[in-house]
Amino acid sequence: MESNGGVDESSLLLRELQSLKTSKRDIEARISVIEAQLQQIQSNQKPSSDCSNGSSDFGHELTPDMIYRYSRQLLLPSFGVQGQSNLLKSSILVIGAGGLGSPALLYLAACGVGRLGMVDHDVVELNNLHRQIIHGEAYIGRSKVESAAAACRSINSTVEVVEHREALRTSNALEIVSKYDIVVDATDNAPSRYLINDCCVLLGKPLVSGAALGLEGQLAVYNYNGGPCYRCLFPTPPPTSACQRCSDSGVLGVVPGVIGCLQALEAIKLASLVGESLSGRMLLFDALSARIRIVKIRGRSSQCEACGENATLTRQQFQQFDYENFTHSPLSAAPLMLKLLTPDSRISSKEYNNVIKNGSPHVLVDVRPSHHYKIVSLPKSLNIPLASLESRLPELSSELKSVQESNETPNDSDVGIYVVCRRGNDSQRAVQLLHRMGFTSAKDIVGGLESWAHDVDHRTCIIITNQKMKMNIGITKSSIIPPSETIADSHLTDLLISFDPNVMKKALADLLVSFYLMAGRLDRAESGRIVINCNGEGVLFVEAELDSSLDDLGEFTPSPKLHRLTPTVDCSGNISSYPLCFAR
Amino acid sequence: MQLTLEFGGGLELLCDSVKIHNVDVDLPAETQKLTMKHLLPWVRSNLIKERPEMFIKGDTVRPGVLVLVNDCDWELSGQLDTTLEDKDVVVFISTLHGG
Ligand SMILES: [Zn+2]
Repeated sequence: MESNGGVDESSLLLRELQSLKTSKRDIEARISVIEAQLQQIQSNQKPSSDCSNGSSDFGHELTPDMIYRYSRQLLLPSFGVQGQSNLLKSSILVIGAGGLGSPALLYLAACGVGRLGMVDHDVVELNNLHRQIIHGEAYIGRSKVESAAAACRSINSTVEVVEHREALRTSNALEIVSKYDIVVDATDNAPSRYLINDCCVLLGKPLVSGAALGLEGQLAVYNYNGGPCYRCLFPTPPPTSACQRCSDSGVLGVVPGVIGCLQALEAIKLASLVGESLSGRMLLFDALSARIRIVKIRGRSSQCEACGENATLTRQQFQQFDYENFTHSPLSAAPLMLKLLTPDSRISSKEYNNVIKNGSPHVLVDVRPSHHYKIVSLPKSLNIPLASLESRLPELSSELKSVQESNETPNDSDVGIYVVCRRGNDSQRAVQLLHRMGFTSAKDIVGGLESWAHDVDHRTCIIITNQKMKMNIGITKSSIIPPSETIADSHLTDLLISFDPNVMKKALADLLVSFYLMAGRLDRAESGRIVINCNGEGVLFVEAELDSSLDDLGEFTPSPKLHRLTPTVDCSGNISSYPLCFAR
Repeated sequence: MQLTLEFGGGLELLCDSVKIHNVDVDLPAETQKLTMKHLLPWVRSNLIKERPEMFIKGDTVRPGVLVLVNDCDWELSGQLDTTLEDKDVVVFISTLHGG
């Protein structure tokens, strides 16, 4: 390209801008810490300078600033000055700065908890923002704790905010939790819930436990005032197949929001010593039917391995306990990778691609739920959700028969059976079942559609839907171009700077010779430059075949002006569900 | 005997995604009283449409399922020996872990 000089110059400018923004952030963080310290010093000095007897004249320790800030809750007869001063002296640890932790942290900071700790190892992602309302777009790619702490400090600089940017593990849990009076479990997985419970039992800390999934939520206070602990209620962990995560099953954003708010409320009640806590009871929230049910649960169990009469749990045992093994699921949100089958019953997505290329007669069964299948699927696949596989085996048999007849193979055992799901776990369960039912040649595709979508040299298939039409797009060639460096503001990124220029040049050259770039994640920056919206993940270039005319794309008309594609595209990988670069 | 059976926390997926079932359960001939021990196999064969192992393990519910009889943990009323009466509400709820 001849305009390389301009490219280099803007590259330099962008880099400088980036480094200035980083410094600005650091300075702002420092300012908020110093402001908080100053406020602390001033509020400590004020009473003694105003009156010789210190604050004892008021009969409480609230400074005039605090009285003004918290006046609306001080007015409550059942909370009042005593409740507020208890709260100001208390410390609360929120574990998890996600869907539950977001509103919990915001309210706890706002209401004047003395010290507020937060633990999370994760970073903010765009698909968190619909429910994790403490985080904003500017923090995508950065630590959740950093983001949450900044939000809490901006609401209330007088609260001491403590950041623990790490995962809670048996090695650090005792040390972290011991620094707080009350623990809020806002995590998203089973092993963490047992780990946090046991740690709270060992240290004698009350635990406010919340959970949410789909359109339901649950809330309880454990290990408080002689009440039960989490293990009293659930001595044996559930099977892994019963431990669904929001990342797999979905969750409506406001549902964890409701539960997180209630967790803040219970923590505030415990800290300020007001009201009746939800100990020995459980709150069940069903958003769809607008029902809240409060049920009475069992008391402390004498048999409980954590808190029972003969419980032998020691700190040392706790530190050596393998919670992931106990619950058969990982502590971090990394997706579960089962290994149920022997390698000869499995096939990689590359090998399956060869099956297609060679024209080997086979049936591909997609065992995902039908609403997933409708979003994206591979061509010529047969959707039989895992749950109904056993009862719908005749459909598979008749499909095998028709493939056998059309290929004129001598018998149906020559027709391969391949099973695919989203990540390659359910497909293994399905193959186990098929083997039991006599379909012994069945194999699953390792890593499922996710590995397929990430494997850049292969065909995959996207369905575009808008309100009126559905179009099948068979992708003939695709390549993902990752950003060549991490970019903080990844929404509007200059395409020539954010990507490895050589890869980009080649990819564009390949495309532009025979194709006309139309729209998608292309955008125009304020300066008028063409930019690509890449979410920090990179850009996926595709060549595709459509089963209907492009005019069907509705509002879009090719013109020098760039339009966004209105339909949503989901390629079922991590490349996001944003409209992609689209070419013809 | 008229009972209201409710499923939640994902267990409803095992019974065609229907959460609330108003059912009529026959009393066992020999005792003339209905206990949870009788009700569980009845639910298993009349309401559970798929993956019964996600509901039952051995002769009781699988780990992680709370059973509530009239909004009260069945541990407090005798678990499997809990005697049910006409118009009782029995809730089966799977514990959630998400957040
Ligand atoms: Zn216990």
